Amino acid sequence: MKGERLAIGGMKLSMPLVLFRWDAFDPEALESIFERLGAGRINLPVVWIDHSAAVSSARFCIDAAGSEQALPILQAFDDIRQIAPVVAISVYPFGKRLTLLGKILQAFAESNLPIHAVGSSLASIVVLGDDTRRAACVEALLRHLRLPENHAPFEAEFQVCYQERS
Amino acid sequence: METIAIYWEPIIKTYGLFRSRGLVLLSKLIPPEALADVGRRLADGGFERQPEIALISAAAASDGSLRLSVVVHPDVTGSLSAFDTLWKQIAAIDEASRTVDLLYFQGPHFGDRFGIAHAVQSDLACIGLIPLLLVCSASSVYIVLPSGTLDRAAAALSRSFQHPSDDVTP
Repeated sequence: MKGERLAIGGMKLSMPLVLFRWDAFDPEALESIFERLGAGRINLPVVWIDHSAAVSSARFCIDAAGSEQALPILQAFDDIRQIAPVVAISVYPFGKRLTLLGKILQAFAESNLPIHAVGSSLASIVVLGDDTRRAACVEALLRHLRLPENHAPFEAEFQVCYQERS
Repeated sequence: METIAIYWEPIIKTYGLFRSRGLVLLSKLIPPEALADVGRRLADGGFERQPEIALISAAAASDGSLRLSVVVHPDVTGSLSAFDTLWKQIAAIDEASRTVDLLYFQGPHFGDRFGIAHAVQSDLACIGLIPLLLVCSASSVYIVLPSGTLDRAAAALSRSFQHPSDDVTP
């Protein structure tokens, strides 16, 4: 309905992530970077690669906690830009609703909060916002979205990390 | 509390490979000052029937403009035409409109696991196929492909991924 808050099932906020942008990238070099990050057991929670425009463009995130290991790999490429620390906010359920996308865009734009990227999945829409303003992102979204009373916590209650087997 | 789990698989398992052919990819470049209005229009679209959206993807350029791409099912009654009317009202630069195929899949804890995006890239590179869009978020991988390349891409992905069924169409 026009102007009303849209009912959602819940929201989940990621740990702080580091976002990288590479415009007009070399596909082979990007594949090599992803291979090296994988070999270093560095997860990429969000990846967005666009070859459909005149200029290709890639965005990818790593956990801020693992950035020390990743930076030497990425800093070898001058054109890869590190963007502000970001938070990935997953809004459930997506339900293939354009209205949900509209509310998210409206919420961020009206509060002058930058949107770094958006991606949908079967279950959710994930929006990347500034991690330094994560509380403001949630406040802005809740002006347009309505949570159920018994919604799940926003922050994950566990974290997955990898260890070498000895 | 710390829980240690050991998980190993020789090939990455998924919950199924989903395929859609003949979709339409629409892209627009939205300047920052138009974003709130575009959001309002999408939110208040007033559709009698919600357009059948297969994928939404967007990323900000350095000037703050947002490149918004939407993959729409044209074969659902009224889906594309309902969307088209709204799309034309959006004050932004039309960048592209083309017929595409879509592959997508999910797997256990993909969002927490390293190497998934590289496996996709590597499998497709083996056959010289560059996807139009690759979007990995949460536990999902979405691959937008040039029309007519879906079967080759699906076959290539079997190098690294194992699907419980070869022919799943939701």
